[in-house]
Amino acid sequence: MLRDITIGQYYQAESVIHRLDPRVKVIATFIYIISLFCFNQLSGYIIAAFFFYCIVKLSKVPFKFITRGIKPIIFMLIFTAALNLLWTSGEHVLIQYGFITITSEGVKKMVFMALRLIFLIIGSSLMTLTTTPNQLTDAIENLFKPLNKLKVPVHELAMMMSIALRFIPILVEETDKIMKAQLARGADFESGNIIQRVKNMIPIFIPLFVSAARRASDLALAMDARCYHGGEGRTKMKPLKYKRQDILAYFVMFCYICVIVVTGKILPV
Amino acid sequence: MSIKLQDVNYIYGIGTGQEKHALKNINLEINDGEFIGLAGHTGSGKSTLVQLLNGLIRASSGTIYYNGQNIYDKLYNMRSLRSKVGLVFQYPEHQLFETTVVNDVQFGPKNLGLPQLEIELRSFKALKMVGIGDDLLDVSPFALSGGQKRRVAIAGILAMKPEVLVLDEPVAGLDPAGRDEILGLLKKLHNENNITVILVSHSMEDIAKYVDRMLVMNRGEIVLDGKPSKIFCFEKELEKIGLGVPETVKVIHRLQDAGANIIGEPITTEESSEAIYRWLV
Amino acid sequence: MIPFIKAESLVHEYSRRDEEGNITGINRALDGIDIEVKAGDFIAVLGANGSGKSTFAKHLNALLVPTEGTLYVDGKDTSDHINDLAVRQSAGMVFQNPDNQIIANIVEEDVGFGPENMGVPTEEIWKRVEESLKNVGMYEYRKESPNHLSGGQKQRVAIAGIMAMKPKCIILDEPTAMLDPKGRESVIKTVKELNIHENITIILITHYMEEVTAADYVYVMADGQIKMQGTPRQVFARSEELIKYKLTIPEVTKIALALIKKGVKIPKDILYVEELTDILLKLKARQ
Repeated sequence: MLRDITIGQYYQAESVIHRLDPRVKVIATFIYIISLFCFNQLSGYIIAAFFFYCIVKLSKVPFKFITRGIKPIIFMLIFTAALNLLWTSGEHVLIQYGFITITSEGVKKMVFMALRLIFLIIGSSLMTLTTTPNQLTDAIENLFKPLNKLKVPVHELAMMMSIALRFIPILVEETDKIMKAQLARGADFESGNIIQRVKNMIPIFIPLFVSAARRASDLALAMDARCYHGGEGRTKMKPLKYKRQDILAYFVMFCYICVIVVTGKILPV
Repeated sequence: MSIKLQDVNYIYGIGTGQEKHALKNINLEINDGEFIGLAGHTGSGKSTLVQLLNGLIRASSGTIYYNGQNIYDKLYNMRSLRSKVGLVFQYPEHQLFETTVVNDVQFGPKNLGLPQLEIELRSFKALKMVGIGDDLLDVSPFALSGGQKRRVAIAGILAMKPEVLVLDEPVAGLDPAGRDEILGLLKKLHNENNITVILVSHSMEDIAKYVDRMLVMNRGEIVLDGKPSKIFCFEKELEKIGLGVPETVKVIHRLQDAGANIIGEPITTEESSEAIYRWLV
Repeated sequence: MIPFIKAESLVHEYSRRDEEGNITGINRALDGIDIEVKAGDFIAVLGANGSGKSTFAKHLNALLVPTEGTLYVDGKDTSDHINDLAVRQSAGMVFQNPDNQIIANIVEEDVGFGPENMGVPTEEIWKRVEESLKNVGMYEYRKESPNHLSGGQKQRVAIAGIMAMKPKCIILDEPTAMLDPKGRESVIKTVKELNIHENITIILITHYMEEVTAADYVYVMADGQIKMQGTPRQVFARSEELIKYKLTIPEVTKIALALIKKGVKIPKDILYVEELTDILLKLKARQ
């Protein structure tokens, strides 16, 4: 089950999208997500979908990988859809049964809300699929640099994120190992009520916590040994530099926004 | 009384497109009271095989019989199998979690649902067997030295009274004295309590010194099975799969290659020096 | 010539504390260590678990500072924190657990981590990364995730990460304890090559006897003290003492000693298989 988590999964391929500066991808994804909330008619969704389709084609990432990102949020999706459906009041009542009232406005809102959520998820998963975790942390560190002035430890936060990404698979594997070891000692993780089950997890949590603490202290020593002393005076092996393709990508995003805004003005549906 | 594996296959990651055939057509019979050494370099399928033996993972195909009963039978009690085939993982000290040594050792027997008196009796006995003194019973397991922690972890399995004890690299990371201590303990358990022991090890020296029967794995298959002295005759083949033979055997082989008439197949230092001496004088 | 490493009556004490933080006792992990290491040497420090050898290693990297006595690394006093970075740069350290010392998610970026911290310019980092990965034979894996490598490969990446800092010395604290025989062999071979071809001073801390035979000089530690020292041959000839310190001798030496006990006239400091067989064959031919 733990292995199904796809956060930060990267799909290796040679494409224009992969080669883009990670900052472009972060900003473009951000713009794309905002754009989803800028329109409220079908034509907007068609444009957003078409644009997304083109980007995916360019990225050479199979659609299967992108849609996989929806699976973990299906429950949330259904939940918000249901909320929208039931709690939206309107004039055109379609069904009335007891306290349940479904209006055509509700249906519309439900469909749009669900579409927005789906685009939001697949849009950001396209970003993580085409950007390595390291590039991503680099981009975030770079983009949030101005926050340094507000005494936000941007470099340290980015470093923490990058280390977390490195150790997630190791700790997942470790959990699996400890679980098996306790099973071999007759532990039971499957029966009992919720409280009992949580209690049964103690033989997993404590060793896992001890191991994580040990790894953390080892890692701190190893970083010291390699002269790590915070972000000050640090150079970069892979500094971020905008190239022509990145400027072009920003231009494409600008055009996309224009199209969305203009259609919103001229097409009412 | 035995463990029998029939045409056992194990494939990792079925349906992900990255399938890995970890075990291929394993046919194996482990008899009661044997001391078996399982060798093979990393990724040869050793760890997968030992996890199959106590039902932690399920074979993709094939059957496993424990004392004649099919463990994949619907009515078979898998948890009782786990107590009968005790599995000590690599670095077992990493699974200690209780507040005191004795509580930790009691975890296994408690899970078996035994009466309190029996639980206490078994855990004291197990700790005694591994040489943990009474003064350490109420100490936190995390305060012990590395070698002590490992012995406590092994006691945790022994307290379940396994008929078969499987250990995955039980001496990894220990110094020579610590290694001898643990391996000596296994020998004693095998001799005195007639426990079947399966020792997974990279060290050909340890295998030569302790086991009666040796299994060699490569790429998911058992490629050699027999007495260590016979298996070490295949020096070149063993080296090809990343294993090699103990240095003592190398010495004998070099001498024999140079025409020395050394009789027998000595493998331990005692046997080797004795055989060389007889040839010399 | 000034020795590269010079320890004089080096003492390290850990204080044990109770739950309230009061000191309840003092553990002397290092108890008067005197060592001098020349630049370019290959030194092995042998000792059982708890002998103090890892504590000593941490001192060499200024990760711990002496309680008493002095330690100079490359002419710098390690007890002065101003020297920390300089000491760590000239004497790099490789640790036991391969997973817990790789920081980045891609091999080449991990190797670049040290130089980045030192403020090395970008192009120079790339040059150093390439060179060090080639030195340890891991260049073709530069784009891989460390999680896909074997233990031995990870340790070689860790060594490359130190090499990229252009150190004069590498300290390896039980680098092979968690590896299989193949990985162990590859790490020791790499270390030996760095010593010979790049003239890197090596301090190998271990409890595997076979690895010590590669060294020029061996120190044996027990109870925080240096109990024995000499060339590997000199040390392994004193098997009773080694056993007393919870150590052992190579199998070949054991056979030689057993033969000597039976009255066979061969030297007692034999370390290698071929060495023993050659001597025995010559002996037989003379009869």
